[in-house]
Amino acid sequence: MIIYNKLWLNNLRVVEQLQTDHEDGYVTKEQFIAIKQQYPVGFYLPKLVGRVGFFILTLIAIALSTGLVSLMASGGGVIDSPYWWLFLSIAFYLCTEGMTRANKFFHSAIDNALLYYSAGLFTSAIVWICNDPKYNALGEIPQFIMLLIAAVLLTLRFADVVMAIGSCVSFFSLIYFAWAKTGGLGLATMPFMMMIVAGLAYYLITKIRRDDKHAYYHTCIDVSRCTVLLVFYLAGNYFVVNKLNNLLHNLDDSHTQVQLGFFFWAWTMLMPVALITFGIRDKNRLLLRLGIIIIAAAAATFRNYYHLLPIEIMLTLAGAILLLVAYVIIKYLKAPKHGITYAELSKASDWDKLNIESLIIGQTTSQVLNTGANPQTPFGGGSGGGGGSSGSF
Amino acid sequence: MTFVNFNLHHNLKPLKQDLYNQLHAEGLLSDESFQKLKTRNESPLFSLHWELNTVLYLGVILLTGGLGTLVYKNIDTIGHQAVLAFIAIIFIGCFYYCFKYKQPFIKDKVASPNMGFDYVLLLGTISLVTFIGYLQYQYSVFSTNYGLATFLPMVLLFYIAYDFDHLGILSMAIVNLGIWMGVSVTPKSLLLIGQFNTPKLINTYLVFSTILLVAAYLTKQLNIKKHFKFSYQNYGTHIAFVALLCGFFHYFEDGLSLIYVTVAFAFAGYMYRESFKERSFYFVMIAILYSYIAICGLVVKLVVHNEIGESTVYFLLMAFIGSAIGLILLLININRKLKANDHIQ
Repeated sequence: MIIYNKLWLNNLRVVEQLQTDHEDGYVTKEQFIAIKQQYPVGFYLPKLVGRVGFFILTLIAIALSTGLVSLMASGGGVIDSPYWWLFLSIAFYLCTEGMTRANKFFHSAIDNALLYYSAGLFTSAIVWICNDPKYNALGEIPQFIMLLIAAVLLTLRFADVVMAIGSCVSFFSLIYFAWAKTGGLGLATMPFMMMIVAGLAYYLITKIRRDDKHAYYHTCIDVSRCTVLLVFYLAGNYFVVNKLNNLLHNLDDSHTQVQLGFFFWAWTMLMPVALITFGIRDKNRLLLRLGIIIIAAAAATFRNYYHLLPIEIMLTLAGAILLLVAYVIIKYLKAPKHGITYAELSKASDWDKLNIESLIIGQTTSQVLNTGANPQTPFGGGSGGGGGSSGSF
Repeated sequence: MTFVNFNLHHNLKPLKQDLYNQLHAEGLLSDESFQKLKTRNESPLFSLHWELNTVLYLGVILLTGGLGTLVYKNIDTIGHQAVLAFIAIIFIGCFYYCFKYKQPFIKDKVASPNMGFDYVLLLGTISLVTFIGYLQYQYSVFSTNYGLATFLPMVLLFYIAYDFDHLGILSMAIVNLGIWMGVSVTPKSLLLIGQFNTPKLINTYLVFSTILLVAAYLTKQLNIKKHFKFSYQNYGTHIAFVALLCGFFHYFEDGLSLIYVTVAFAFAGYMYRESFKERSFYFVMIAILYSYIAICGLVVKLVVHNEIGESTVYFLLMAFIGSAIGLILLLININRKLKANDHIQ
C-alpha cells in the first residue's frame, strides 16, 4: 500500500535513531558513518531550508499550470463544472505518484506540495458537488464519507501527517453529521457521543501504534492521537457544549447554562490536570504537551464566564504563578528524580541553527525600541509610529 | 473513560534495544558505545527542559503584560517617576548580575555562564531601552533631536551584544540601527514590500544593507565574533535584494530600472559565488530566488507593451511554469552538489 521503498524506510529509521544517538554523543562519527553505509537510504531528503524553497516553488509552478490549462479549456465552459477540478485533482495525483516514484521523493516538499494541492482540489470539488442543487445536493454525510475514504487512502499511500489530520477531521465531521441526523436527541447527546467515539478511536489507534508492523505510520498515528485527544477534550469543554446547546435551541449567546453543567465544568478543568499527570507518570510527551496547551483552553473558558478579576490582575497573577511553578520544579529536578530531569538531553535541531530565536526577539522587541522614531526624522521613514512604550507601560 | 494504555514508551524500549543488539552483532557498534546505549535504555531519562522553558517564557510574557497594563491604567496615581524608577531598578539589578558573572571579552564565541544568564541579560537590555524610550516619550530629554534618541540605544545595544555575546540583542541592535536611519526592518516589515515606495526610502535601505554586508564581511575577515556573521548577512542580503527589486519595480517604466536590476544581478552573482564557497545552501537559494524574481520582471517588461493579447498571456504563463520547474531542478542539483563533499550527509 505504501508507495515508498520499504527497505529504505527501515534503513531510514535506523539511521535517524543513530543520528540522534550520535548527536547526543553516544556513538562516534566513524561508527555512524559505517552504519550509514551499511544501511543505505536512497530517498531524496533535502534539509529544512531547501524544503521550504522547493515547496513554495512547486506551489507556484502548479498554480500557474492550473491557470494555463484552465485558460486553454475555458472555451467550452468546462471550468464552471466541479468535475473539471476533480479531473485536475486526479491529474495532479497521478503526477504526485509518478514523480515520487521516479525521483525517490520521501516527504521532500515537492511531493508534499503536489499532494496537498491535489487533495485541496479534490476537497473543493467534492464539497461543490455535494452542496450544489444542480448536482442533487447529496448533503454532508456522503460528502464526508468520500473525503474520509480519500484521506485515509492517501495517508496509507504516502504516510503523510497532513492527510492523517484530514482523515481525523473528516471522521469526526462524519460522526457529527450522522448523529445529528437522528434528531433532537442526537444533538442533545452529541457531547457524549463525541467523547465516546474519540475515546474509542484513541484506544484503537494507540493499540495499532504498538504493533511494529505499522512502524511506517508512527508519525501519522501520533499526530492522529493528538487530534483525537483534542476532540475528546473539546467535546466536553463547557464553552463548546454551551455554544452547541444554544445552536440547538436557537438561543442567543446570553444563555450560559447547560444541563449537567457541573459535569462539563469538571471535564473542562480536570482534563488538563489528568493529561499532565498521566503524561508525567508514563513519561509520555504527547500527553504532557497537550495537557499544557489545554490548560490555556481551560483558563480561557473559565475567563469567558467568570470575570472575577480585571484582566491585568489575572495576567499578573497567572504569570507569577507560572514562574513560581517552573522555578520550584526546576529546583526540585536539579538532580534527576524518578527518571525525570530538567537537563537538556538532545542537541540543537535545525531550528536552532537558523537563529529563529534571535529573529523572534528582533520582531517582538522592535515595538519597544521604536519609541524615539518620529515621522519627521531626516531619513523620512520610521513606520510603526512610536506608540510602543505606551502600549506596554 | 478509561485511561489505560497510555504506556507507550515502555513498549518502544525493547524495539530500540533490538536495534542496538543487531548493530552490535554486525560489528557496527563498538562495545563501549553499545554498553553506554544499553545503560541509557535501561534507565531512560525524561527531560522536561522544553516544557519548563515554555512555561517560564509564558510566565514572563504574562507577568510583564499584566504589570504593564496595570501601570498603564493607574498611571495617574502611580506617577511617571515611580514607573521610571521601577524600570531603572530592573535594569540596574539585571546588569549588576550580568557584570558580576560575565566572562571577559574575547574574539571568539563565549558560552553563557549559566542557564538564566541570557534571559537576565535580555530582560535588563529591554528595560534599559524602554527606560530611554520612556524618558524621551514623557519628558523629551533629547527634545527634538530624534537622531540622538535612537542613536544612544543603538550604541548601547551593539556594545551589549558584543560584550556579552548575545545573538538576540545583536538582532535588536541591527533593527535599531535601521530605526536610527529612519527605516523599519523587522522581519515582518520586510515581507510587506509595499512600504518601500519612495526613492528616498529605497536608497536608505540600500545604504543600510551595504553597512550590514560590510559588517558581515569584516566580521569574517577580522575574526571578531564570527558567529555574528549570519545575522548581519541575513538581514543585509534580504534588505539589499528587496530594496533593489523595489527600485526596479518603482522605476519600471523608466530607464533607471535597468540600473537597479543590473546591480541586483551583480550582487546575486557575488552572493552565489561566495555562498557556494562557504557551502551555504540557504544563501545560494536566496540569491537564485531573488534573481529569478528580477528575471521574471525583466521578461514582463520586455514582452508587455500596451495591449496584453491572449497569446502574450499564454506565452508568459508557459514561460513562468517552465522556468519555475527549471529552477526547482537547478536548486535540487545545487543542493546535491553542496552535500556531496560533506561526509556526514
